[in-house]
Amino acid sequence: MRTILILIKKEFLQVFRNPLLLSILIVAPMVQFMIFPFCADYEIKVLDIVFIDHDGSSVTQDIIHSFDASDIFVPHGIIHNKKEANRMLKHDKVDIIVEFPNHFEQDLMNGNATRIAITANAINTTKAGIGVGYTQEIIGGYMQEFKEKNMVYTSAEETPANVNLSYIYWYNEQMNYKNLIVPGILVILVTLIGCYVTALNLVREKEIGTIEQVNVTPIRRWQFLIGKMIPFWILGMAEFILGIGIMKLVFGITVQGSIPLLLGITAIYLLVMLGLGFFISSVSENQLQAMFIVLFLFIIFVLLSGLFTPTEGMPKWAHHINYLNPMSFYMEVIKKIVLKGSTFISVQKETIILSVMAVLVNTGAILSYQETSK
Amino acid sequence: MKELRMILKKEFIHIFRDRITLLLVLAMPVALVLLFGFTISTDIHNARIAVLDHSKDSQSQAFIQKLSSSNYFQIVSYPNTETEIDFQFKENNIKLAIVIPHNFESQLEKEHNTTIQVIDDVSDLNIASILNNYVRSVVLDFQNEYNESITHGEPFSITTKMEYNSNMESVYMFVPGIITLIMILVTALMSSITLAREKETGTMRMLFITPVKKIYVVIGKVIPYMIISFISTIVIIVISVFVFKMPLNGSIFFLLLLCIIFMLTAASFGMLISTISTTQLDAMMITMMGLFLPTVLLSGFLFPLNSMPMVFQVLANIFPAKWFILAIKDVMIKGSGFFDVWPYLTILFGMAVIFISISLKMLDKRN
Amino acid sequence: MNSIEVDHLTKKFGDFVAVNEISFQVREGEIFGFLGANGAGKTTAIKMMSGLLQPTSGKAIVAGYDVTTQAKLIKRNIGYMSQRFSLYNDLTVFENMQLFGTIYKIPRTELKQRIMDSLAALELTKQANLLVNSIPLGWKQKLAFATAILHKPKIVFLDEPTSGVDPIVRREFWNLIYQTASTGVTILVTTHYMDEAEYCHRISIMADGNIRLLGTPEELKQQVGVSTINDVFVEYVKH
Repeated sequence: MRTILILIKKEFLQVFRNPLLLSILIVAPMVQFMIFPFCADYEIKVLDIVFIDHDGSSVTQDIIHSFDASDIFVPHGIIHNKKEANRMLKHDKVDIIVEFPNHFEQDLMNGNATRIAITANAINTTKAGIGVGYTQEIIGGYMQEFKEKNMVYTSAEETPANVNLSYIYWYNEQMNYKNLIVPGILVILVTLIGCYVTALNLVREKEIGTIEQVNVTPIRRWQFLIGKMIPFWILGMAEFILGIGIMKLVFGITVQGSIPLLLGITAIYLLVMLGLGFFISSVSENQLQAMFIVLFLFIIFVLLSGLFTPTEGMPKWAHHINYLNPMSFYMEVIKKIVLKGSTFISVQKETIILSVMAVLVNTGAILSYQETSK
Repeated sequence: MKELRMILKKEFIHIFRDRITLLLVLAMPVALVLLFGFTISTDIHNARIAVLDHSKDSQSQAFIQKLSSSNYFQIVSYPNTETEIDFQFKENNIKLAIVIPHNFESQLEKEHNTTIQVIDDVSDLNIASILNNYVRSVVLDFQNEYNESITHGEPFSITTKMEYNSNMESVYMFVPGIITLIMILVTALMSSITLAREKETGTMRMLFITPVKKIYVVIGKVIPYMIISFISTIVIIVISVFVFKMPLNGSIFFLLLLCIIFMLTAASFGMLISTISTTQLDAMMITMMGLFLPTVLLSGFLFPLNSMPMVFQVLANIFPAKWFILAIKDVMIKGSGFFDVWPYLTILFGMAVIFISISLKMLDKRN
Repeated sequence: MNSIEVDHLTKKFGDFVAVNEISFQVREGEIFGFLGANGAGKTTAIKMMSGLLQPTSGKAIVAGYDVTTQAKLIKRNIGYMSQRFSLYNDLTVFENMQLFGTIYKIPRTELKQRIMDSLAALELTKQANLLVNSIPLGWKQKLAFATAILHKPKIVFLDEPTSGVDPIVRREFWNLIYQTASTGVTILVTTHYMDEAEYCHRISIMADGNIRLLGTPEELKQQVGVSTINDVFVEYVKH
């Protein structure tokens, strides 16, 4: 016990004497909270649109004007030249082109077939999908009104029906993307502290040689690892609590569920990440290797956890790999407890899985740590 | 020149000695591009949804049929009350619920107007907005079919054309981003960290005592990683073209030239970092914060730039990634040539010149 | 009584033989010197004897325990000072000694006393609360030695303890070694300073993983027919 305590003391002394590490611990969360919520946003808020109007009638004018009412579309004028419109699309000046054919109004009034052509830059598929969807909705809405006003139907039965959609938003009434990304930052924060900082810490002792002086003592390897772990575990928890504070004070997001439950599961998740960090550092020879492995795993974890990209579109095998991804379970827990106010029953599966991972990873870390080299 | 060759030789010996790192550096790009390519898709298939059908008539059945026959949705439950919907969201992991009103059929026939309610789980706004879009298209489909069945068909229609990516492949978006990330990781991060390592372990001082010009020491550090990252880039391009069917509409030579110029920019940034940092941790953190993070967030590769607050849109311009991604997309997908992308090239080259001259100044100061 | 018995101890790294079947004994309280050029295998031999490195073959009994099976017990009974300075630079002198003293399970009150005594003996009392980073290399080496013997080990392994320090500190350092040996502690020290070899009770000269010569400094000089150990080394190893 005394051995572990002195090791913890040593680690804390070293952390508090390292201005760079300290500033990373404090500055990194601040920077992330300042940048991520504003930038890491998939929501399409702006769509640049241009109209090619071969008709120039009052109907086409009206349709074009109905785009003005939308918050999302930024009209880039009406042109008559298709080449010019394509040039604008190619140079990313516009995302969407709407083209009205000749005699559009006339054909419409006479009941002749006529069509409006929408062209979208589909390199960004989300943007194209949503852009085309909105464009269709606006034009469709206008056409509905137009028909009601201008066309006389032979009988009531033949009057076209209109199916409207109304939306109700649950679990995030303000429709705030920040509500997802801010808890996500918490996940990134504890992962970085847990895995990155600890992995580099141990491998640095290897690189500068201090670990040899420890290895020549009769200390047990689990004692050494626990002595290393507890300080970073405490730092990780402190970082997490700081994060919850910022989330509440700056973004006004309150944890909907039980905070002790959230802290408890975070503690388990941190153990998984710490163990992983130590495992990586004991198998790598220098900081460069450790860093690359951690970075690689980190990117995969983030990618598969669904923080930045939807996991719904992934193939089956990727979902299977995800069963090995502690971050995706933890992400799930955070979403449920912070945003939906779920209770322990709803997160018990994740809790059990994370606990099993913690035991396995830490056993692996202790076993792989070599005090005697071969 | 002879000195430079010596330094280069030494650097390559280091690289080949540390086989694990070399393997990591070469394997990581391939693994990443495969992972991104196969897993990242902004299309959602078979999203779990619940349908609360208040009318249970033939039109509501027809609508439900339309929902489940689309690829987008998988109806996992038919709750009877809204409280049950809440339970479905929390426990059964549904992403969306649809509520069909009472008397759906008669509203359609008599009032020609009805409203379907969509309940979104907006704790994940991305998914919600994509799914809403799908619901819209299913409803539009349903409405058109219904109207066609009672009238003589619509005289008016809308056609859509998805330019540059008619199959709506997500990979078109991600490949340019991954190429950028890899080049930055390998060129800037590796060269700045290995330089910092020499400082940390003291071997740098030994090199600087010798009559070798400092600039050669630095250039000698950077060139090998440029070569490795160039190899990685070619591998990524090959994978994306042959495995993911990414188009290569522009000239391959022009594309490679573009990559070389960007590598120069990344390498010069690495040089700059290494002149100001003293430990590996410093170098890594500066690269991560100053280059990696802005590349992920502010390059337009994952998140739409013009939806961001103005400050960040302006800020994005000072990082090379944005310009490179614009240029590479133009060349690969749109088939642009020199006359279309020369402004981007000029900006990247200008950045390299600025970074290099600052680092040279910093090196001189140390004399 | 022998405190170290080494019998055909060998270490191979792949095809490279770092230590080739070396055998020798060290008596209790003896100062035993390991001489040799860089890369002769001295550090590898010391690492095997202190339980940091598994031997490929052969046997070594240190403080009565077998290195291959009883490394933990050996570690409790030895002190070790590595070739590179390996105390924590970002801890103070006192904190370093406290850390290692506690790991060796020296009772709290006694530990404090021992640290104070040992710092007083080194005339480092004033520097107790300075970061190790900020003290000169010579002091650091003395500190590393004091830390290595804080738990009163039976055997101390010193791997090039004086490399890079000035002659005066080297002199002081050897005085420390003598004092320690006089209390019955066995010292095994490697060095490439030939003048230091003269201070040892017995020395062995290593080259290419083999022990080429072994005996008291006087014996070796007579055997080779020269007047200094330096000459012995030059005569024997370089040719």
